[in-house]
Amino acid sequence: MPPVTREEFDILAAQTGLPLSQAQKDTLFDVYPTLQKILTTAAAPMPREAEPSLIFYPEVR
Amino acid sequence: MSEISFEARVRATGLKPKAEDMPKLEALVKDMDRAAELVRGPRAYSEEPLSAFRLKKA
Amino acid sequence: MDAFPTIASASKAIAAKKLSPVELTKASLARIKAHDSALHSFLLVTEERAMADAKAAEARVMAGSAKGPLDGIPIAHKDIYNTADIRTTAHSKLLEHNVPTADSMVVKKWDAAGTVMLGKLATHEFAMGGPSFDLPWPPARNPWNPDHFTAGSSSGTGAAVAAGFILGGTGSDTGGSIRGPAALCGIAGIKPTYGLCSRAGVLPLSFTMDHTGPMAWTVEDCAMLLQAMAGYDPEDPASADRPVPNFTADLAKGAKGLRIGVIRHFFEDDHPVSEATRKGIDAAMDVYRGLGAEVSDVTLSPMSEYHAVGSVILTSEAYAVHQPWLKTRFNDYGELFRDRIALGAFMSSADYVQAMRRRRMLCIEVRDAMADYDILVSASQPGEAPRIDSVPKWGNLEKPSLTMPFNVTGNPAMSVCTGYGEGGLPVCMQLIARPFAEPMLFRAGHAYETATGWRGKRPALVA
Repeated sequence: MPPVTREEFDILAAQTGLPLSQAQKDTLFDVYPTLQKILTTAAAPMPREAEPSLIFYPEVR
Repeated sequence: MSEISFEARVRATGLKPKAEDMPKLEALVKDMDRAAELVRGPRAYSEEPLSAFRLKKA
Repeated sequence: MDAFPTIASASKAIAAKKLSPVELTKASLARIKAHDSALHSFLLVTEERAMADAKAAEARVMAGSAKGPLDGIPIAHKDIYNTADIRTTAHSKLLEHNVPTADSMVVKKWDAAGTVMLGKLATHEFAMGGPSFDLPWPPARNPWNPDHFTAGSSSGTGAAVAAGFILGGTGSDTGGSIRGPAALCGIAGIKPTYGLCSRAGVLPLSFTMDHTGPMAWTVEDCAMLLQAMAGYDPEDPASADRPVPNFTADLAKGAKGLRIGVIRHFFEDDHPVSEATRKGIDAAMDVYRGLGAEVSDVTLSPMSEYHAVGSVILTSEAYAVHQPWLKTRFNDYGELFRDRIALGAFMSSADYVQAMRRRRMLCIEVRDAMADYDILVSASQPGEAPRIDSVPKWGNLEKPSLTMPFNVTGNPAMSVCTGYGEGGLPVCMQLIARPFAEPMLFRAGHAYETATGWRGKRPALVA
């Protein structure tokens, strides 16, 4: 996952719809590379047929 | 949903559609945004999703 | 009366009419009054309710109609468990005046078992994100040294049990919120198998990662509390419809013949722990060998993979739960919870689905690894409790969590105290069993506890 520029991050932040202050955006921008690393690790290559662990049951309980 | 341009939103996803496809894509995304807004409608704080994490078959 | 009875010892004494539930409750309330101003473990003490419960329990015992081994035992609930007509706040300004109309299922079950409810306990805001100093109530502090952290999010339960204010209490565990405070407060705490205990009526953080469970001074006490907590609940969509075993039946079987696998790379390479913690685990393995168990090392995927999957799922689900309030009351949350949860807004639906796919692979990996082992062992916390003012804001992301792997897989996992570090604060290990093999987990934990002397020492603050 390529690093995001501040301009790109600001677009992502605007898309969230959250009322973020400048200081809050600064904090989240600082930690964003760590989040990207986590997202990349969680989505590391896996077999195309790998199923999620969530099961949908049409019979509502 | 946001005040940023559609072109900027597409850039942020990392996708690179053809320029001539952009108007159609923008219309589709607007439909999806409306659908997502409906899905987000008011619900109880503790309302559970219908799919569940299961260790064994029920 | 023993100054600090366990649930097991108090239960026997009550049944023999040698210990009065009323006197036991009065002693607990007096200890809370004397010491909780330094620990902040309670958000609300329900003194009148406690005395009414205790008198009713005592009447039943004297009439020979006691409800069972928990009748007359003082407990309290983490403040994310709904309690009818009693404020339930999640330690948050957003629910500062929230009074539920019904009890959560676990509260009902413990009430039916005759427990005496002393009140509601501190938590990290909405069971995530502490310690926070910008909420309506201060964070709980560690009874072993009030300048130090309890871990969380079941911070009040960890502190109150260690301080002897209550004999047991409820916790919840989404990424380690039972096992963390149990570890740093030097008590026992079990995150049961996903689906074993009802989550109905407990404020959700992450639907597929949330577990309810008990915390107490000993493993045996946890087994007794879990007995009155487990069971199928049609109101919880993830509840497992299966018989509840007897959790204390195997306690006396000892560790002879157990096959124990140490996930050494988790706590030596993936997230290196303190020397005291590592030595505590090594010494515990020597104890197990001495009791007749077979101990060897086992290798799983790097812990960072489990952590990444757990973090994406937890943050995405928690963001979905809180999204409406985040958009309208963003600054009513404390800074730590708010900023951590806001990251969920930056994740895509594909990120969540990929994490769920990876989760299944990790579940299969642990299942296969456990074919050769009865118990796995790791650390629960990286060391002794840090100072409460030195906990890093993004510590939850910077290093992989030692507890998160078993929220991802749903296996039952328990913290057990293995001694004390250089600062005099507790260190501990984590024991893990196969899904729904809680009796095996309790057997292993109890064998260790009774072979060592750590349960004989209480924090100096209240000793």
